[in-house]
Amino acid sequence: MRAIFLALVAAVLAGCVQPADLRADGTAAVAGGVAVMGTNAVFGAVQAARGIVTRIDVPYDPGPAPAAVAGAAAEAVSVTGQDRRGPEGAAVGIILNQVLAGQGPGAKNGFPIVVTNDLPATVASGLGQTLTAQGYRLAPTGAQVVVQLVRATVAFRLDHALSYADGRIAVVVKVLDGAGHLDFAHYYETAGMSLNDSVLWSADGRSARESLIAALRSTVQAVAVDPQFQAAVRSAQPRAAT
Amino acid sequence: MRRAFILIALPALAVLAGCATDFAIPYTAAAPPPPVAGAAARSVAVVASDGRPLDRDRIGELDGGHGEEVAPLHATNDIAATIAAAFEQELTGQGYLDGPGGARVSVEIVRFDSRFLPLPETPVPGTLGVTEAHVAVLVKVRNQTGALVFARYYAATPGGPLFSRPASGAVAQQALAAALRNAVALVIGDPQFQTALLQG
Repeated sequence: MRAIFLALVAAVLAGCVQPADLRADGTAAVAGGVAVMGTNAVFGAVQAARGIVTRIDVPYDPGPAPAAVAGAAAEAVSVTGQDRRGPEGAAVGIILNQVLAGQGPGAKNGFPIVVTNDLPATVASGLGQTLTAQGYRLAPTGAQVVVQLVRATVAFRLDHALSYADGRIAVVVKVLDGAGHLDFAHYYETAGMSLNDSVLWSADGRSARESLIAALRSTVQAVAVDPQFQAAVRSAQPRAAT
Repeated sequence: MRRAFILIALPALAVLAGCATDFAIPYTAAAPPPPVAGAAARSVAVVASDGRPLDRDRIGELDGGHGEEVAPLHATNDIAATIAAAFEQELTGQGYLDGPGGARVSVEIVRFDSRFLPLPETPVPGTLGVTEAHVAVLVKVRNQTGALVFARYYAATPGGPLFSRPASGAVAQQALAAALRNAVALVIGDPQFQTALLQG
């Protein structure tokens, strides 16, 4: 028992059970936790660390270039992003220590993970990049694509001894023609996963970030390759009167 | 020794006592909807579909209190059919005629799930928590010509905390039923949705 306790203290002191982003983002608070370890080392660290916010950026990582779409070169499209998430907003999940805090995935008390960049704009930008790579021309004169971000979350899963972050991105994509008439609306949701650095922590900033980046890339790809979305973008183009 | 017994036995008893994992999620209307002016002359046809791309089979999971999944939760009724019936009930209550020839409403279920959130500040960690539920739908309205005239995403929760011990399928059922009721009320009460129906 004593050996296990000492090993845990040593592990915390060595930093090997801290999430990577916690070290980067909350050094002072963790240092505070270390200071009270004489009497209750591990729980002290957890309590002191409460209130730490892990901030992550979630950029758009395009992955492999998409195939060109026949006939896209003549079509103009504009993409805008809107935030339709609930009150949780930029807070996408929680980091906590499962073993020491006696809690698990989904608990509300822990280290909130907050996305620092404008995620709706990032999704819209990613879709714009992908459409451009497919051959479309970004211009305000053609189809208007509105990407509404309705969900961005990271949940934490335990699968046997594996602990991983399960990032989810969901959007409603609308396509309007030049006159503002709604031509298309569809919901897309994808998941991305990333293994955690430690099974002691429900997740860490790195795995949360990577899972969301993967989910974001999958969402953009799901939209861009959807034949119904493609058809809507083309049918929403202004046509010369005959 | 006594503390160890409590730590092990209480969560185990909680799991065993509330372990129903398959149950129906009924729709129960909050109150009869007020009639809508002009609705009596309009027909509305409702279709619901399940658009959940992930985890479609499960509506939550029983939690042993420490984040570990004990068992998945499943609905025994057809959720899409339940939602379609709920919309038909509410819209006819508002005075619309149920049937073809007018606006066509499609309701796509995109979230229908619950989860248990343990509260840490309890004498025995993991023995008490809050069950939350999420119901989200994408509602589209097409007019008589088939043109899409309205599309909106709605998300609803039970509206208040539902405290429970871990692994209570009954509370998950209650939370989801409340979230479903609130989701339907959100849509039905949306003036822009009503405008789309009346113009359909």
